[in-house]
Amino acid sequence: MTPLPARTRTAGAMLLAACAVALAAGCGGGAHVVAGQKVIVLGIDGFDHQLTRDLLAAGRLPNLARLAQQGGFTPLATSTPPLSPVAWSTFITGLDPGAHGIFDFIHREPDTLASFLSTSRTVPPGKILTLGPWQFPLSSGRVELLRGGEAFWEVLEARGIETTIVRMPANFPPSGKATRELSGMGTPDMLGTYGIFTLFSSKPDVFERRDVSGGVIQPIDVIDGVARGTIEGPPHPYRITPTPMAVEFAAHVDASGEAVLIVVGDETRVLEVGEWSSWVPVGLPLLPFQTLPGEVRFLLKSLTPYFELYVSPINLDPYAPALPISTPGYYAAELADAEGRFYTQGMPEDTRARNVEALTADELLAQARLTADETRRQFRYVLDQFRDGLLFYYFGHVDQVSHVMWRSLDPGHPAYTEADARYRAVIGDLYVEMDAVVGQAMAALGPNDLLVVMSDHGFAPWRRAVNVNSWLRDHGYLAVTDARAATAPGLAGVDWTKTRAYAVGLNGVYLNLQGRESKGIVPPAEASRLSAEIAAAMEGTVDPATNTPAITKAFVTAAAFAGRAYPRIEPDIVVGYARGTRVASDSALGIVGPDVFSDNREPWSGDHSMDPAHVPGVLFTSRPLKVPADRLQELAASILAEFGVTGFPKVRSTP
Amino acid sequence: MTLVNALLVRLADALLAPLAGLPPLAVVAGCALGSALAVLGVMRFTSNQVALGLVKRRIHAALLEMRLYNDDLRALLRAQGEVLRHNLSYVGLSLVPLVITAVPLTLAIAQLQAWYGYTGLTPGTPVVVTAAVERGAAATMPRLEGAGVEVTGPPRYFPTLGEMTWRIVPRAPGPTTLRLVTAGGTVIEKQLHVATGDDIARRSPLREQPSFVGQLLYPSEPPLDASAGVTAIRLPYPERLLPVAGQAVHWLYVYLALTFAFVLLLRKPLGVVI
Repeated sequence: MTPLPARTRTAGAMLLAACAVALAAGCGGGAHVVAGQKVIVLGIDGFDHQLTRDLLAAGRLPNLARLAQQGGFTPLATSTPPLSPVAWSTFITGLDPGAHGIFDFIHREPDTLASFLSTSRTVPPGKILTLGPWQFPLSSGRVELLRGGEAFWEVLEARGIETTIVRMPANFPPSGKATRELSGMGTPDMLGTYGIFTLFSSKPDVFERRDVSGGVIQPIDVIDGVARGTIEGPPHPYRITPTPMAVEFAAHVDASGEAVLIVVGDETRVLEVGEWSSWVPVGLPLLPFQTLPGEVRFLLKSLTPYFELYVSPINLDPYAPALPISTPGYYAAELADAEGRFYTQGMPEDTRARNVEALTADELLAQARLTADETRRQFRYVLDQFRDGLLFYYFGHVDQVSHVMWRSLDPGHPAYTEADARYRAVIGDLYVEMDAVVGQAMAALGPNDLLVVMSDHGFAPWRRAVNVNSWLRDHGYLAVTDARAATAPGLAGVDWTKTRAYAVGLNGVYLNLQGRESKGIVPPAEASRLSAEIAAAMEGTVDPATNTPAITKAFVTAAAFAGRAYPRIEPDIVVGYARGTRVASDSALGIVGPDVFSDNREPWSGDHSMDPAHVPGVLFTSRPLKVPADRLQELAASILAEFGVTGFPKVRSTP
Repeated sequence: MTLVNALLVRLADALLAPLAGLPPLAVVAGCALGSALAVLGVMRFTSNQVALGLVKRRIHAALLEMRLYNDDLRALLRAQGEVLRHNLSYVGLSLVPLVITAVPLTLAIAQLQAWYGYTGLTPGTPVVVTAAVERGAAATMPRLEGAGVEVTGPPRYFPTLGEMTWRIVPRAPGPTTLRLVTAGGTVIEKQLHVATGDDIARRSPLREQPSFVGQLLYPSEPPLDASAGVTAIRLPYPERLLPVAGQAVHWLYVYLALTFAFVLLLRKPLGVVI
């Protein structure tokens, strides 16, 4: 072969380089890509802007103060509605809910009004062979991520930049597009729920199994020094009649009556009263010699006068998860190997057990300490392994603890008692702990690297509750045939022939729309006018007890969202409650109660499902961003800009 | 058995202790190679190699017959009968070397399990020591102690299980001895090896009263005195898994797979019929 002349070679190389640049730009509408750079994003759920400012002013957050000085600290406008799965999906995709399709934790099926998890669904096997009482799938089922849009890390991976995305909410099953991923909020327990605990109790009022919100209370007795119980898992997949797979355990009481030895299969744990166990692997019997692996933690609540044993939701076993929770598949096991077993459940702090008094405040805080320690240990490992590219790491316990402990900061709360004062420092201390985590991340930064600390939303007290279904009834938009039946969940007792709007979930109001709802009566041509009418009426609502507005903004989604990709599940109105007010839990479940307003007396005393303007998150950066962001929806584009990538998201993202 | 174990422990320690700094996978592979050579040697010198070769050829012939006459049902059935008959002859001819190799291999595996089957307890991490006790011994609540080990909390006796537990926190890495002291002054000892990083060392999770199976599976320590009132002492050593191609695998599976592979690889170069 004859060598090319030097000038021709140079021209050829330049042409090749120009083609490469043009190709790269053509792929994503971006400029050049910066490789070898390290960007760390710490996502702290529910880290409130106002509380952060107060703690900064008090000098309790030295690392965040340093960060604010180096780069910046601003409030970060959250999503509409400001709910975690919605907000994180908005951050991930740079899109509003109308385009990514996540509007709440739970969505409703318009035909049946049955509710389902908003971020994922299980697709059963297509063909099943039935043999007597048994059924055998002939093809495999799968789990689908329901979040639409492109995740921002996919853009980086397409350009050869490695990303590590740990515990990102609304990312179950994991996208499969990051180099390493562990799914976060939205990852179910073995029952396929956000978490169902079991409380075994010998109290006389627990004669039979009782289902409560988020859990099950089972009777148990100590007979001849042993309490025997059964932890129920999901229905056996090979049985036609739903029969739960179950694991038996025995709790042997010690001679002094102060401790138990719990035996589950080959595993044993000794627990004293008030003590949490380490993780106990359990195998749900599937077939002879085959089990579905899971893991639980026990808490021995009391031995006398009553035996009470709390069992956590059955978490997917990180060593052999029954559902996909990481990319690559072995990454969850790698994390478990490095720092021990961990909660794989997306929202591990059992606030629902606290809300039904299955856990005391101290017990919940002890559990939150366990989850926080697991998360922090894993963060240390992930940070040590991280070389370059993007690292996102999520912390969820600040949000969960704030929900059930906010009252301690709010002496004006209707359920505040002197006992709450004891916990006044709890939330602030969590912020201080997170500041230490920020310090660790700062220490890992090189001169050109970037640290972003952000939250999806802030927090506010929840003092007053609004039953939106009752409000709709009182304003003539919802009719009931049977007032007593209407107090049951699922909009029972509603007269659909006269109902024009109803509420399900935390912020959504839906029209009873012809062609969408099975018994719809509102013609599509009327939808826009009716939505605007209801929204206007809501914005004038005043809480008679406080004589202040209960709803400061009602968003008609047709106008508020740029995307309209999910018309069947999108609410027609998103209610923005006033600070201190939230939807009543009953209303969220589809109950039409007698009263519109009530005091909130639940332990769940802090919330953020309000008008987004009242609950901004935070944004700290270690240096000014090349493309500033003051809205959560813009932040992913700003992070990509740090890698030289522009043009995200590809679709229109503002109305 | 106790005497045999004592000798084997000294031999295994002499052989394996110098290799403790090497990667466990390399040592397990080396042991598999040694085992494969031993198996081939035993086969070579204790089996009728000529008869084995003949039987194998006859099996091949019958298999060939099955392929050639697969449209002739009678021939097919006769060939299958031949395969079965010659297989039985093959098993018969292999029986002696099989029995001869089984004993030392089982003993060797038990020694390897003590060295490579467990990781050490982590200093600072609490664990529970369990002792199976007779009712009379429990009444006196024996005391547990050990150098470099902190006993936290009182002993617990679970009458329904006949077991006592102590919570301990190992403080110092390395070997130490747990001493169970009864009210009568009897001392029962259990060896404990606390981890120094991911060190390889002899560890035994169980010491119990004399039994053949117990001594076979847990040869590291002599059996407990049957009159001491304590029938077993257990330590919760975590299982050690070896990293193989991104997967964590128990050493025994690696050892068996490699031994099998080495036997297949080396049989022809060494002229051994198996």
